[in-house]
Amino acid sequence: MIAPPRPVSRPPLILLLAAGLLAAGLLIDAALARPRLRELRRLTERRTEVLLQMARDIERDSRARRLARLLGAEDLAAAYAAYPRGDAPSFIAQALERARLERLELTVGATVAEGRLRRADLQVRARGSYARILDLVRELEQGPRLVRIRTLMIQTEPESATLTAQWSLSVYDIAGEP
Amino acid sequence: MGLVALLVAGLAVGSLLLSERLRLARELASRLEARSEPGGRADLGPAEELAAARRGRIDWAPKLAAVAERIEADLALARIECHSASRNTPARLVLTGRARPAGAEVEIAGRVMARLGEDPRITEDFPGVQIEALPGDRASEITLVCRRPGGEP
Repeated sequence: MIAPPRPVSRPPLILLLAAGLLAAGLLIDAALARPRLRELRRLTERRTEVLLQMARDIERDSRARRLARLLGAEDLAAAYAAYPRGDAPSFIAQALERARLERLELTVGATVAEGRLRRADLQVRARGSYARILDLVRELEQGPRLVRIRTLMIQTEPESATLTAQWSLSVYDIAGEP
Repeated sequence: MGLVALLVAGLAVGSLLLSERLRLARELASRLEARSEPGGRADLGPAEELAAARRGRIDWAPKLAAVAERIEADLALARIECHSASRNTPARLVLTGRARPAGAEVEIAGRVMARLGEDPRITEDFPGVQIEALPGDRASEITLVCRRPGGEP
């Protein structure tokens, strides 16, 4: 016995059309979304970079403020602007005058580059009272310009109340424009 | 048909959300870029080197003031030497003077050492005061040295 052929059921045309439109819509959406997703990823990465940079900047700014305070200024630009730039021998000669010490000798030694600084070495000999010598040492150590006393020898002069002081000094400058 | 309509609506909403997220991300990025604008920042290098040089320096003025206050009439100072640390030599403060009266050098040296040793302006950098020389080569001359124990710079 032969079974009668089954009738072939065809999907309605409208469903086929909808499926086609859906497929087309999916393709268009994927094509449009891809560049936007790429940009979103790039922006997210950039945001992370910027946030890291900002954290580094904040740390740097706080270090700059600490350094500026150490140099006696509100900010680094002010500290650099205020840093004295006259030549080292004149600076020491003026300090000797202010301390009212009698200058016996002022010899300029080598000027050496030390990183971003320039160091001028000087030999100074002067005569005066202990109080005036102390005034000069205080001025050199507390002034805005960095001075390092490498050696200082104070001795009494024979048969006299005055003292002779001999310094070996380094005066520091900032090399170039910071 | 309903399912298809739902999918299309979902796609549209997804696309809108993505656009909105992108817009916010662009806005945030541009704000962050504007805030992190470089410029106006001074170079830290010279300041760091100045600070390091200043930190490594011994300030002699407080020590000289302490010497003036702590040395009394029992020791007539003839020489004061201040030596900052150099490559091979540690920093030290050397005081040379004559004991008054002569003959009491050991006792006077002990007193002066005690007075210097209790002054924070001295002990800040030199916790130890030692006798380097007692009379021998020069009559009644005492040499006291303030230095770090072990002699490190």
